[in-house]
Amino acid sequence: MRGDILEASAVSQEGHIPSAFSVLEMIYSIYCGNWNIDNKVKFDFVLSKGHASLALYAVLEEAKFIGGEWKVNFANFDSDYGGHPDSNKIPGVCASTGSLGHGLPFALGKAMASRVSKDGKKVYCLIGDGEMNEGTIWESLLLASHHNVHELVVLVDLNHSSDRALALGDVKAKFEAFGYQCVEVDGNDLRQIDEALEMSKSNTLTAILGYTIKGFGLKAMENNPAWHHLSPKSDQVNELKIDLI
Amino acid sequence: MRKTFVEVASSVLEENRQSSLFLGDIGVFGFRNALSSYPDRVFNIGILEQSMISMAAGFSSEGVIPTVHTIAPFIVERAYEQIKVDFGYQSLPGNLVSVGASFDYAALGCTHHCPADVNLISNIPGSRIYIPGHPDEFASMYRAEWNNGFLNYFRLSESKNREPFQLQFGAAKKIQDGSDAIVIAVGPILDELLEIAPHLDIEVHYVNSFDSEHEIKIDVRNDSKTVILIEPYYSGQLLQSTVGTFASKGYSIHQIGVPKKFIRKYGSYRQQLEYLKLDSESLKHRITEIINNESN
Repeated sequence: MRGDILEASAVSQEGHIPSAFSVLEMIYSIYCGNWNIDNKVKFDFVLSKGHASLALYAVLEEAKFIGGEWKVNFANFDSDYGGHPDSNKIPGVCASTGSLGHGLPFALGKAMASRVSKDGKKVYCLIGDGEMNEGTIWESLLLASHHNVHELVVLVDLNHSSDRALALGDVKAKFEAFGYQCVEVDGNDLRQIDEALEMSKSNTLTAILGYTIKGFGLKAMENNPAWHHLSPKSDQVNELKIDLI
Repeated sequence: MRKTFVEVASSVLEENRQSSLFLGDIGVFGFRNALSSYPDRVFNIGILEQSMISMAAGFSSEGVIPTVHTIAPFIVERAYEQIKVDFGYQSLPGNLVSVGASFDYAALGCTHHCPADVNLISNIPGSRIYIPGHPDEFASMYRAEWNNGFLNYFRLSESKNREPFQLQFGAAKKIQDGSDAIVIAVGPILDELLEIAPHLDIEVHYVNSFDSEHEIKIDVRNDSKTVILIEPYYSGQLLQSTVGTFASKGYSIHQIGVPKKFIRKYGSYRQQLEYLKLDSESLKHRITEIINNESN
């Protein structure tokens, strides 16, 4: 999938590749992990850090929500697959995100509304640690805690890329202060994420803290801010793919 | 109007399980019965308007139509991006019901004023705006429209007209015949005009709902080429909604609305209305002056 992401970005000269690489395992595990192999858990997924859309498209193809067209028309004028996902265009995308801090309160509303329909659905929302600068993240955690919205599971992409502006300190302690059970995992390790998702089936407020590396899987991009919103040229892709883990 | 809102919204909540209500820590006493009867879909969310709007949009995405209620600047201006993205961009239906209008909270100062709300909401594609001039108008609007598939903005105000009018959405109603000018008033400012209209030879029309994508339907009878638009907020939306009817046909259009300045006065709504020259006597002078200038 990382190779597909590189190619899609090279074709359009768009996309946030390192952010997508940072969260790819977490999104993949939600849709395709062993924790829900029998599909007993009905869920929605909200990618609150919408700029990692390339990872979402790669997984949605793997999960058969969409075909492979995103790889050739990503961010093109008539494409359904933009730099940030559009819920009106893409099957399986239930929130149009891109403006940071919107996805978590939106997911919270979805999770609380599922109590009205009593459909037993879970809502998984992936936020970035940089996104946690936004006040709405903390408002949402306060609200989720107050209303005990265990139907909402928060996943955090902790890659520390925005520490240069505003470091978050002890994220686990902060979540715990809001009443969350925290499961700490290597956010780029499928097995660990899978185990954490298994634990999230409980009726307990759960946050999965995924310690990740921005640009994971490609040494040239790992923790390299120059690649944040940079795309490889077409003739670079094969060389980069050789270096992929 | 707030009392009517409580009555009508409570009734909708009782009759429709697919409806929900979010309060920004106002109106809580009025909705105490709904809060206790429907705890899974009626909430006093607290004082966090941005998250409240996003949450409400989340409810909407699950088919549970939300109504969000708090003071105008906090719902429209503070949470504007959430309204734009989470409702507007995602084409999700819902209802925003504000109180305070332009300067109902006159004594509280500019932080609680919101004369920009109508123009701001009108810039969100797919939104509809309702400015009832009477509680009965609000009651019929809300009952008919709360689940109409659009993002609806209902602007409640302390001031109200003596008589309610039933209008079609986006259509004007002629209230008085006259020949010197065509005067269109929006919502609760109508009565200021009707105080002095019998003493002027003007054709009066009333409007209380519109959107930004369609012209207001208006049946103009007289031959005057002078049009005066009176809005109880920053001028602009009414001109946009009538430009095809008047501007492109050689009419001379004049706008009267809340001036674009911070109102650094307190006192009462009535005092501010007079200070801003939007009271009936001031309107009489302003309309007369426009007509005289046009005829010279």
